[in-house]
Amino acid sequence: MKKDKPGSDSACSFIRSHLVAIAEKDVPGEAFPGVRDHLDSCPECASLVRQFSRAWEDPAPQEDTEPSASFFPRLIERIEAEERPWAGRQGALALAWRVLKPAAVAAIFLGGIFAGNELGKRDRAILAPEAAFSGQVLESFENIPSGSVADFYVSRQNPEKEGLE
Amino acid sequence: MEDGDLLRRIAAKDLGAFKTLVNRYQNRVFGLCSRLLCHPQNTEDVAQDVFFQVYRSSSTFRHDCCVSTWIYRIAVNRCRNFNRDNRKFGEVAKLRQDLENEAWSGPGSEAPDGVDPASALTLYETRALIRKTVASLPEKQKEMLILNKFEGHSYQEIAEIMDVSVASVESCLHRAKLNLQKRLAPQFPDLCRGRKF
Repeated sequence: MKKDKPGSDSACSFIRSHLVAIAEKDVPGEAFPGVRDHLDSCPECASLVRQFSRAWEDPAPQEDTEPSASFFPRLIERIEAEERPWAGRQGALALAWRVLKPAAVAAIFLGGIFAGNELGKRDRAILAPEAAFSGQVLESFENIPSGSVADFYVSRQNPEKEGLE
Repeated sequence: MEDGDLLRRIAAKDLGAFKTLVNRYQNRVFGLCSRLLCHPQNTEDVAQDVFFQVYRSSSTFRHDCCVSTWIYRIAVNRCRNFNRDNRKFGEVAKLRQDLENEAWSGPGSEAPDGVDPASALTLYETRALIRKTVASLPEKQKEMLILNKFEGHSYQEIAEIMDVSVASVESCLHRAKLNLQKRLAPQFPDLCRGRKF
């Protein structure tokens, strides 16, 4: 008998973990004599294998798998309802709705993206950076009172300006 | 009358032929659906869907395979779709199934005539355990095992129903049985008393 793991090689545990194979007589060749000998000597395992094999042979008796008496009449009612003239029109509407619904959702989604983009463009109407910056700086330089501390520093930073003046 | 001829007549809206076909297959379809569904109480509705589909698609059937295979294929697909759509309620259904299984082993359970009550009880329990464990297998393994073991279909028939190769059926069934064995082992009482081969 092949041993799976040291210490867990009891015959009963092997039987328990190979019940399906034993019930189908699909036990590996080398293990078969050991299984047979063990079943001869262990009444618990023999009983378990016997029970399991019986259950496995017929796992689901057909006692509760019959439809009710109203099964066929209800089926015919359903078919007749399907074949009524207005049912076809309803079916066409349902089909149209199934196609149009995702298209409508997609159109709303894309419309939202487009509208958001357009609104964003309107808010971001700003001057080019160079123009904005140079305009502000020149304006502030022109407003410096002559003889002030700021004027002194600006003159020191830019001696050319003094010379020009 | 042959199944193929019945289908031709059903395609021409012959309800009599349809009734004959339903009578011929309803128990088998019902049995298959009740085993495949995670909610066996919906078996009748799903079986109705199957035959409704058979009626509607009878004109498109190409007669290149057995009618029974085609009906089984519809049933398997319907059950798969139903289980997918109702997976979130699966746990409740399993709980109900467990309660039903427990009811089998209650004192009110009756054993068939001529069978020792104690051993018959164990047989019912074992059957319930097998059914419950099969139901817990992955969907494809469960379907193949049910078609093979519970419904008695050959590998070739299963391959046609599931639209896969015979080799694929063999390997999937092998995996299903190993998986089943693995899940069943802890459920049986530990008989080990230190015996060794």
